[in-house]
Amino acid sequence: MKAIAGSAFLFALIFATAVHLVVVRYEHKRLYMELHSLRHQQDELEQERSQLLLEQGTAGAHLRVETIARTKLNMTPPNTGQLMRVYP
Amino acid sequence: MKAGSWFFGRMQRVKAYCNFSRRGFVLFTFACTAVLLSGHAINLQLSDRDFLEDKGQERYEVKLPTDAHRGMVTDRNGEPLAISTPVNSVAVNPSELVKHRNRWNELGKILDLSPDYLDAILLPRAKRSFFYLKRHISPDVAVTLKAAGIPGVNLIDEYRRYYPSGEVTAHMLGFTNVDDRGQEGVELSFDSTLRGTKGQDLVIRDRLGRVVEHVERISDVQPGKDLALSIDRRLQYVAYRELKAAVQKHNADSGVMVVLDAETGEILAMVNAPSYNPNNRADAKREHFRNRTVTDLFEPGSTIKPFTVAAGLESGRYKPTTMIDTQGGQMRAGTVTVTDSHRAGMLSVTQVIQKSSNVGVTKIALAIEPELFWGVLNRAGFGQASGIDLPGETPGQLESYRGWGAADRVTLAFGYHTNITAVQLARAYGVFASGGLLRPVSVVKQSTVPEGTRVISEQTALAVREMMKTVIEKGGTAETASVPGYSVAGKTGTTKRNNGTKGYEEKSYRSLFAGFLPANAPKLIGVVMIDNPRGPEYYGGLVAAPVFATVMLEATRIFNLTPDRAEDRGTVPPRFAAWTQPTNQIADQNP
Repeated sequence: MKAIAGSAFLFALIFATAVHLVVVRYEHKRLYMELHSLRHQQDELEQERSQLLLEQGTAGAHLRVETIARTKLNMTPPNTGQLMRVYP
Repeated sequence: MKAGSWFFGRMQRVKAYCNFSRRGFVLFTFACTAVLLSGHAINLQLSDRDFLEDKGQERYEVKLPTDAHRGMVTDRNGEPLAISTPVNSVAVNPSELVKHRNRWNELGKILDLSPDYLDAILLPRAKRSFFYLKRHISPDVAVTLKAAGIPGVNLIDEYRRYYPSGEVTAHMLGFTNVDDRGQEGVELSFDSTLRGTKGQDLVIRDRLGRVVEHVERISDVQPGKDLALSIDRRLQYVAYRELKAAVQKHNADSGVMVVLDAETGEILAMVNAPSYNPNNRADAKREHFRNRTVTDLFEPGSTIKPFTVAAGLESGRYKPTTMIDTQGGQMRAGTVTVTDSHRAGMLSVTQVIQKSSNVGVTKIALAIEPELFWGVLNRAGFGQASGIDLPGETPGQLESYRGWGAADRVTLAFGYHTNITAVQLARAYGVFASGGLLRPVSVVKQSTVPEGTRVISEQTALAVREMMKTVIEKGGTAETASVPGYSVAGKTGTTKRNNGTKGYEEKSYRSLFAGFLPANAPKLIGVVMIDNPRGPEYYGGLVAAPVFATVMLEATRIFNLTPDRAEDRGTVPPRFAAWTQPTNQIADQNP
């Protein structure tokens, strides 16, 4: 009687772990898919960031800024008499 | 029972007219086949099992690499100087593609490749399964190509490096090759930091190459680290603009400029002219890739004189006020005739520096011990490499005093028969700026002041600094180096170019200026060298010193330096930066 109860218990354990294994495997697969899509998203965001930085760097290049300031906006550095140094 | 009797009855009949032989033959064949099959199954299971399992796994398990993003290079304020951004490359499977020759025209049109080129490049490789047809295509081309869906054509994700500052930072940064490996400059010397390591995942893929299951992570991807350089993008731009304008104005071969932080030894600007566009190197000349500030040696000429005088002061035989007879600007020393371009009679040691008298320094060099003179130069880094973290540095040249003849002492006094790079010269000038210490130079942003080694006493360094201030004052050789509101210390140099085998060329010069400011509490050190100016002006004070002045004027604003010259209070900078139109026309120097 005891032996039967023991093996029934073990059988139940085996069954439980078997089911658990299936659950864990499923979870692993689901999480991996999620990781994969998040990585993909990260890649895309990083790509966008680098392109924006690049755009900013190119638009803010000093040569371009100075050219626009001098030619389009007609700006010049202040000359004699236009500058005053203030001392504390 | 009924079925059984039917069976036996039938057997009897079959047996009767087949005579057993046919049935026996069929059964025997079946038996043999069964034995063979089970034998083979046992064989497969027992002896070939590992081999077969491996082969099977190879079919569906794939090691999938993950690319590491190359780190960004920024200036000292975090402004990006080099950025990697993903682009597509076109890889083809020629063995697949040759089956679809009807679509080659379409492919050629999208990628801008001629049919002849495609024939020539693909047909000899018809048996291969991988070939890069075109690397780094633009995003819109990638979209068109993807939409076309030509069999055997694949898009591969790769990174491409971009340099927003273009030619301004080209030499300092260097560049990477098509595989994203550093080839020159900082990209090469810090390649391992910037590159990172690729990761690997073991995955199971289905027949169509889709990932079905992730088995394990073999190694984590480690993205490259960002690198903050010591340079300031704004100052770098100003330095490049001024240097380029000067090289064009004086019709020179080339020019270099280095600006150092006098306290930390950080490189704040490092420029070469002519430069190249690192984003499109197709038309660039290879000789322009060289960072001349670290690779090219030149004779320092008169810029060495502060060191000669420092050695004189260290010997105890000279004081700043000691009078020296310059003999009307000409003397013979052994086989060498020494002449001055500004002829004079009796000059104090200070005036020897101010007027850049060759005769004066010759007399000092001949009066002191060669070992002492050599010791000062050697400790100041002459004849050595600066150890800067950039590829291809050429160590300077300085012969040991043991091999010196009288002529060597004389020519060395005013900077011939020794060679130095612009970076090494800037580092050596740090000795006067720091009060006698030689500090290492760096291209990476520093958080602490590195330890220095003593070259000369503080007293000597400060005395020479005072002398160097007179160079920029009225009566000196470089009034053009003055920066309104700030005291400047410096020294000009004009050397004849030595063309190797032909010796010193007539009417071929190098124009130099080295100095620092504010002279009383130095923050910035600058060295300018213009090689072979072919215009009417070639003196260091007229060609190199103005570049120093305009760049430093902008630098004082960028770094917010407090003016230290009371007499300039209320006045304003009289000279403004030369401005070059992007069309390469030179604007008026004094607008």
